[in-house]
Amino acid sequence: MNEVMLTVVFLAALFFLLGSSVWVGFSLLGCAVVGMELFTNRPVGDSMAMTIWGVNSSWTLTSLPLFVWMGEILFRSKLSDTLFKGLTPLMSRLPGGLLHVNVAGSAIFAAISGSSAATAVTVGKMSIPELRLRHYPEGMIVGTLAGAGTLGLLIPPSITMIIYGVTVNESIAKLFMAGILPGIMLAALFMSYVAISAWLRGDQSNREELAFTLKDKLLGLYHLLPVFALILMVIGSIYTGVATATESAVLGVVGALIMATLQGGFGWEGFRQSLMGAVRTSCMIAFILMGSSFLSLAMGFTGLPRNLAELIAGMHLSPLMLIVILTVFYIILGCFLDGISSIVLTMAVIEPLVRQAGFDMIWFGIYLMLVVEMAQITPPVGFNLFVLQGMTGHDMGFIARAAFPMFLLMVLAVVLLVWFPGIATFLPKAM
Amino acid sequence: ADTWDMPLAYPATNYHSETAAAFAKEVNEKAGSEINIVTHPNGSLFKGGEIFGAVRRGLAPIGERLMSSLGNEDPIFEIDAVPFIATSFDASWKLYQASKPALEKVMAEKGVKLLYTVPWPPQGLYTKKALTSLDDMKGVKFRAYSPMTDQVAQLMGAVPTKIEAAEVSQAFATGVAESMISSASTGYDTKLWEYVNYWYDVQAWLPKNMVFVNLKAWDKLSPETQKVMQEAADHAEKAGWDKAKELTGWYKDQLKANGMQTLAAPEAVTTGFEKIGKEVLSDWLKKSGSNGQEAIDAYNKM
Amino acid sequence: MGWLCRVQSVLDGFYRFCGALAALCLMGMAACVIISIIARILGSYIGGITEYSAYLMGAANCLGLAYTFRAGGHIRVSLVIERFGSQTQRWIELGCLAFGSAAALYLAWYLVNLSYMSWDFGEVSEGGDQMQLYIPQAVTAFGAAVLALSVVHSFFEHLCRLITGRFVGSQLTAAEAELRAHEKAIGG
Ligand code: NA
Ligand code: NA
Repeated sequence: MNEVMLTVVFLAALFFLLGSSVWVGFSLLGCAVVGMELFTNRPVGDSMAMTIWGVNSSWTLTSLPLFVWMGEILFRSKLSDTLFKGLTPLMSRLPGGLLHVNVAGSAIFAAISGSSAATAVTVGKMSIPELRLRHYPEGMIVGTLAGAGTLGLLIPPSITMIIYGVTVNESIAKLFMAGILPGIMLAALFMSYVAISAWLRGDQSNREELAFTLKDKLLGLYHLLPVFALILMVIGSIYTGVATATESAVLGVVGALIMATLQGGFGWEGFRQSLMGAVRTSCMIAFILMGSSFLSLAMGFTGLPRNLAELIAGMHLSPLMLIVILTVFYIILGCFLDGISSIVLTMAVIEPLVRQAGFDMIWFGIYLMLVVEMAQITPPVGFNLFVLQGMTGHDMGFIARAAFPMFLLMVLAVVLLVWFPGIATFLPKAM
Repeated sequence: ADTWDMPLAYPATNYHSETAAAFAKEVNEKAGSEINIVTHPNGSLFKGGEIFGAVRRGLAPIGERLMSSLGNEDPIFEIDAVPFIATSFDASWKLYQASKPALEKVMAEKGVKLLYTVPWPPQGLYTKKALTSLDDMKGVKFRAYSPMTDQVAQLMGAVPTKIEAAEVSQAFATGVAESMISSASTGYDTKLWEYVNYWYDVQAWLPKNMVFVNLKAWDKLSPETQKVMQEAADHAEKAGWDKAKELTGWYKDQLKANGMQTLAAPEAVTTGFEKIGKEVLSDWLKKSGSNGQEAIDAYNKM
Repeated sequence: MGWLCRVQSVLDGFYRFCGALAALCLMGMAACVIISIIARILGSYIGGITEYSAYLMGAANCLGLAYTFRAGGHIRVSLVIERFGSQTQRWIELGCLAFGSAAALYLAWYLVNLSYMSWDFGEVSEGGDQMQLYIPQAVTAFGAAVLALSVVHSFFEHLCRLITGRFVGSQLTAAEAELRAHEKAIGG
């Protein structure tokens, strides 16, 4: 009964505040204060300050503003222009054309970055203006970006996976291996969707109305070199042991600055603008992060997520039913919490349940990544939705609708993962 | 009943968290209606680094923290991380008893009360290659995470490299780090056998977690409840120390079962480490003043 | 009303100045990360460097809040209020700014308190930096205080316009503010 009451209060407060167009950071903050004041006897404001300080002094989060800055540099340099120039001759015949860049770009960037927001910002900064210039349908631009941005969690390295691995005592190296195939599968699903929907729209994929010769294509490959060099530099620094995954972000910034300067057109003014742009974007994200970490603390104090998990534990379900119910549970939780909070707040109850049901914990980790990835694109609290709203100016409703097909594709990916567990377990077992 | 939220930094299945859960259960059963302790494992409420500050401020009435990580607050907290002065469970228990008066005094000044401690398994040395003496550590990239581990690395001639706990396994996978001093449980948790071949059981030190309460919250409890909680703490301490001893062998077996060589340290390595230990200890004594000197003197007399 | 405009432009200059400070912190953070990579390559240990980069990130995050707010950079959901007429929207906007002011003051107050208590306790960082924690926390609190100032500022600005009926220039409705932010983000 108490759980119902709690859920209703949290929901009502959040929907009322967000619906009245109060800024997201303030809404989350207000909702957390209401929940904590009503249902706990702990000091609210001081707990909030402690948690917000924690977010603002967490070393693992330092890579986020750096990747944001890298995106701002690339967007203001000729690099994104040359990238699209290079890709056009190569992809013009593909149904869906350059929209695939959103997916492929996110998948590649996901291999550098451990965060979903960083992936969406960096790729979006480069691709949105270029795709708009070429008149791709706005809904597809935004939707694919929202969906593919979440690959940052599934394709290693991934902060969320590290947290899960540490929580349940499983090999992080194996989890990283296990994420590769499902990541590629999900990217393939997104790309098929791009192709099929373009084909269904009867869209002429070759918007450039040009026939490209082999020479154009080779020239295209040449144009791709700078961006690939940059990606190689960042990935290379991680795998050769020069930098840790968190530190490697700064090499992305340095590399982008060097290349932007070498290509010309990026001077002091470009540098200044990129820096101020990075401040605006990372402050926007940080403000929401502060609010959501406090909401997560408030939920932790009230015990709501844990009690709901215990409710599931008490149902004594068959393994398949357990996965079905857990999927629904995490999708609902994901409407209000980010992936890491969902995992940390529930694992104490869920882990024994899953082990008892006989699931491979590596497999379950990948399943969990997929399910909490969905949280990034479900309203009202979905980080990728916020980030894209900041970048495109569209309303949440439009972005959430545009991202909905991607959400369904993720559900399909979960079904495939349950049906063929080998997708996740094959690589780590072969290791 | 008044709800007492108890933030814990480690996962629910870790024996520290299990000990805390058993402690909470005993208190809840015996204290009747006065309080209800709810444990929040895995940093789900406050993260490890926030817990001590949170309890001092009364944001949570009770919590748990790795003692030596508070060394900057007062050097006495670091006493169980000074290498090679107490290298077994028995010695570590004695060191704990010897340092307890100073610990309790310092904590009372900070507005908290020590309830109980539980040790981690003894710290060993992970290396990629076999060692004959400490000279083999020259130039090796060694994980440092505190001023003291940095000092140990430098005295060995190794290259200290700063790696945060979250990135340990990745650092070993990519060669950012090649060696570290840590317990067998860390190696087990991070599956270190994927990257490292040797673990030397040098028992460098036995770090402890401590559970403490906010003094104001404690003073508000009825004498009966205080007594119940103190008794439960004593039980938890006993159970926790026993569990740590039992698990030490188990973790070592797990390393072995996964193909790691778990060896006793060669004589030359041990003597090398003893020399390093003396140097670190004399530096620590300068820092810690009379509190530290009294604790060490009491320990030496035991 | 000339002096009011002057106060306004001084305030807006102040937010921009704090935004520039945030930019400096961001650069400082990048420098710290570069230094830690170089230190590793050279085989030396710099205690506390990861903590310093984290403090600089926190400083950048908070010092830039007000600047971002005035630039319309913070996200909100205008889905529902778009259905109302423009006069109603303006009153809702006033309510949002009032709530935002209260929330921002609440946030600033408790962050100041956090820093004050850390000073009172003499709390020291757990890392090799051995930093007195009240210092970086005070920077965070200062950023939050500037945010509170900017939201209260926006509230009175909006209230004046609502009373005088003069809506000129920026910040007509939430939807329009959004559009401007969007143009800024895309147009650079
Ligand atoms: Na990733
Ligand atoms: Na969501």
